[in-house]
Amino acid sequence: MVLFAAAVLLAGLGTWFSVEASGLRSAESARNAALVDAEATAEVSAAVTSTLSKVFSYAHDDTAATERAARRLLRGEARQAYARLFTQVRARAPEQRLTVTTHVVGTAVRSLTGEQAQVLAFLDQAATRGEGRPSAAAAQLLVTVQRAGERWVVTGLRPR
Amino acid sequence: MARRVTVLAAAALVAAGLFAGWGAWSWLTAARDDTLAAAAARDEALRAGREHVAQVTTLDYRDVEAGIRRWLAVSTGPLRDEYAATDERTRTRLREGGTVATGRVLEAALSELDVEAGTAKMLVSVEITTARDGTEPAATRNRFVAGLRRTDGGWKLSALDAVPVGGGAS
Repeated sequence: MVLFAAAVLLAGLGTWFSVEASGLRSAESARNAALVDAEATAEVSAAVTSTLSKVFSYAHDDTAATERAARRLLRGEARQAYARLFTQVRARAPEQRLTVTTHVVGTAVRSLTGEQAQVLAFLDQAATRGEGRPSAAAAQLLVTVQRAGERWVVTGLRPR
Repeated sequence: MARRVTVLAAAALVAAGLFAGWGAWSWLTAARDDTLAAAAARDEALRAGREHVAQVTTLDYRDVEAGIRRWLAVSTGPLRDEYAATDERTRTRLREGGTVATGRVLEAALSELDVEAGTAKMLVSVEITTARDGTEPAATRNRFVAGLRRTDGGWKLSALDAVPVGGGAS
């Protein structure tokens, strides 16, 4: 009887320990690899920086090049929102001789799993109209990206 | 019969012992896992950073002293020194300005984390609403790079720098 009681006690302890261990491992905090996996964090930051610089930079005499890049790099909601915005750009940029250059001046990865990531990006946008002097504006975006094979594609863009 | 029961009980005991041992090992390794510890530190630094930035972008002209005390409580190092050096002239100006500023963090994420050194950098987007008696409140969007440092009292702000257009962040 004593042996059985001891066995039950140990089994109970074993269960408790395993529950604690899996609690630590599966917590939301643990599933988020942002900064913890330095390599993956750098990779997703680089992808976001490159994509934003491409899709938010355009020259009035070649807006098609930017649109092509956007089709390649954006998906889902991000692509729809972008398409709405770019309809106006396509209409106005040539007549205003508008050229916009976007620089990503900072990125920070908020969440990162194997499939999806969210990145806060600080942008500087310089706009030049004709021969005029460039004007600059700041923008902050929360960017959602999803893994598509070897690449990351942007699926969400939210001004913050 | 009694002997068979004893053998069975002994076997159960050994199995339970192994299970408990494995569970203990699993818990211990999880608790000492550097990756899990880093993830926990990241989340704690971010949580504290968000709250602290909201604090130091908030000030009510009706109680400037309490406001500055709150700034001091959430900051450390050079930023705390800067707040502590707020002179009487500035305090008077703030009291007489008639302005209530309220900061709200819209988004924030860490861009750097050094768990061992206990330091981190955070990008943060803040909406600051400024209300002055008799006028409509006005909201502005601001972006900052915040420095965070782990102290005995938790993570605190060691720097808060606005990121101007063309200025660049980390």
